[in-house]
Parts: sequence; structure tokens; C-alpha cells
Amino acid sequence: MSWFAIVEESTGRLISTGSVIAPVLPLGIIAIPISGPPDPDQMWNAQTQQFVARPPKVLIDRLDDIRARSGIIATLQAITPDQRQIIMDTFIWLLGNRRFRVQGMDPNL
Amino acid sequence: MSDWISSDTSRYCAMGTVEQTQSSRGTSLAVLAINTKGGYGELINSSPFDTNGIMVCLNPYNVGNRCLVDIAIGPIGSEQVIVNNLHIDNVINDQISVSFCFPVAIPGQTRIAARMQSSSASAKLAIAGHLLSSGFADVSPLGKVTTYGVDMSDSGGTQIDPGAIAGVKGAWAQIVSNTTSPITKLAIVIGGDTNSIRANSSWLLDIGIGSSGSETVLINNLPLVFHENYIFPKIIGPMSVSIPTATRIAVRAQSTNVDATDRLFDIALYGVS
Repeated sequence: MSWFAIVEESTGRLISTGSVIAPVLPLGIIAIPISGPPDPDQMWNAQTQQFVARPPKVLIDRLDDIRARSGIIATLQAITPDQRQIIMDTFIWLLGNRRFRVQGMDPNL
Repeated sequence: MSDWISSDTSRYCAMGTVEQTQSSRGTSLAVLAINTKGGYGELINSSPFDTNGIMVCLNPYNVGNRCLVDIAIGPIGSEQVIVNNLHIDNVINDQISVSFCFPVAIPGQTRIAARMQSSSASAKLAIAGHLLSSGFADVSPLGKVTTYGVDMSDSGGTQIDPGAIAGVKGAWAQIVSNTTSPITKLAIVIGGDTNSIRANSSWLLDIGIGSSGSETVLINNLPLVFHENYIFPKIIGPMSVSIPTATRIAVRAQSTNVDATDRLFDIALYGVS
């Protein structure tokens, strides 16, 4: 089964993907053969008019949010490394599966 | 003379519930290997009446994973699947419970069982449900549920990418090139919850029919939201539609979230005929 990307020629914008294309495409719309259904790890690049690797997700560690709070670094430096480790391990335990966030998510839980 | 309400003769029969344990939930299903159907778990050994509807409640509860669940009828060893690959996701250290209801007929005195596959070999899922029988004046039940858009290789659905521009519909993604049966009721199931770390987001989803490059919107702007760990709603419908055999169905969406990963969700369609 042949697959196609249906693309607006002037902008490279992807309009559709599929294996059943219209017998006559609207003016300015072209069909580009692709190897199969789009790979979930890839995304359309309108400039190059091809699928490219999806950029890796960037996670922000809420431990870094804690470290960025005023006074916390000085407080942690005032205790012993063992005590510091106990506190950081406690934060990790407390955060659980909320330890990481993405840009745009509130650091506050 | 009082009105004769069609639901006067409605009957309900629970199946799959495990009241004797402390879990207070349904029958547990498990898998032996990733993305491979496991063994059947029995929900009821003999249905007490002819049904014209079935409701099943799926509750994955131990690890973050994608699941596809089959509902089958028949004796042990010769089960026949009547609803295949019901799609549900869950998030690590969390659980969710979603009910699916289909107007399909099952004769009385029928054994009903379920099995599943998952993207995790250690996945567990509880299933329970009800057999439904409504009054004689109710709509006749339908006979067949056909699943479109699931990916057996990863136990998920078809990925929908709304694209990189917020608030603008992305490209149509083909769910099925040719439907194999006419669809009179359509259920839409949303997945993608194994990605639970994303900013609160919302989507508007279109269901379209027609060839690639000339799709026509059949149902427009179905709203989805992501809040905390999950995209909601998990299931939309079944709603009445009229989609003939040999129809291409595609889906597109727009989103408030333009992150290359976090804007994604996946979808499976269930056509009842």
C-alpha cells in the first residue's frame, strides 16, 4: 500500500497523510510519496518537506527549582554532606513521580 | 392508565466483580509478554438473560502502560472476540477507571471472558462490567464492533499531531483507509497518557471522512483537556453516525500546546454496526 503526504506546495504545510488520495487534488496541493504511516518519533518539517526526528523532550528537575529558592543553597551548605544528602533524598521521596516538569508547568505542586 | 415506560423491563447483571477480596474491584487480567495477548479471565460463566448492551469498566492499576483489551464470548478454549482492542492507558504509580458501553447483543446463557495485551509485561488491569437488557420498545441492539486505529505493536492507538502552531488544525492522520462495515454508532477513545508530564493543555478534535487531500469534517471540535496526569475525556460516544463501508476515516486536531512531544495524543475508533 503506497502512502502519501499531502502538502501545500507554497508553504510546505502538511495537510494530510494517507494511503487513499483524492483523484484530483486542489490547485497548489501536491502528493509526496512517503514510506508508510508516519513514525510516531518523527514530525513534519515544512521547510524540507519531509519527516524529521522529533526533538527529545526537555524535563526540568524540581530539585533545581528547590535549589533556586532564595537562601536554600546557603542553608544546605551550612550542614554536613550527610545531612544535606538526607534532605535531598527526602525531597526526592516527597516529589515522587512529580519530580520532573516541563517548561510552562508551575513548579508548585 | 399509566404510561408503559420501555425501561420497565430493564435488567442489569454485574460481571467480573470480585466482592470477596479486599480489592473491591474487577477481575484482574495480566500479560506474559509485551504487546502479546494474555490468557482469558472469566467475567461470567453464563449470562442470565439476552442482552442488548454491554458495559465494561477498565482499571489499569500498577505500572504506566498502554493496554488493549478484548471481550469474548464462548466456552474455555474457543472464545470468540466480540469487542476487540479496547484501548486504555495509565500513568506510573497512578490508576484510572474508564467505562465503555456498546449496544451489542449477547444471547443468554453465554460465557463472557476478557484478555489483554500491554506495552508493559508487568501490567495489571481490573475489569468488571454489566450486562444490560432494556425494555421491548427500546432500540434493537447492534451486532458487531469493529476497531480502527490501534497499533498492536505498541498496544496504543494512532498518534495525532496537532502541529507546531497553537490553535490551528494540524494534518489529517488516517485511521482507516477503508471501513469494513457500515458504522451506525461511533466511539472515540483517547490515549497518550503514558506521557503524564506536560503542561495543562486543551485540544479540539475533528473526525473526517474522504480521501487524503479532500477530507470532509464529519464531527468537528470535540474538546479534550489534559489536567494533572490524564487527557479527558477518555471515551466519547458511542454517538450515532452513518458511515458506509469502504470509507476512509481520518482525524486531526488543534492544541494549545505546541511542544513537539506534549501536543501529541493517540486515538482509536470503535464502529458499531
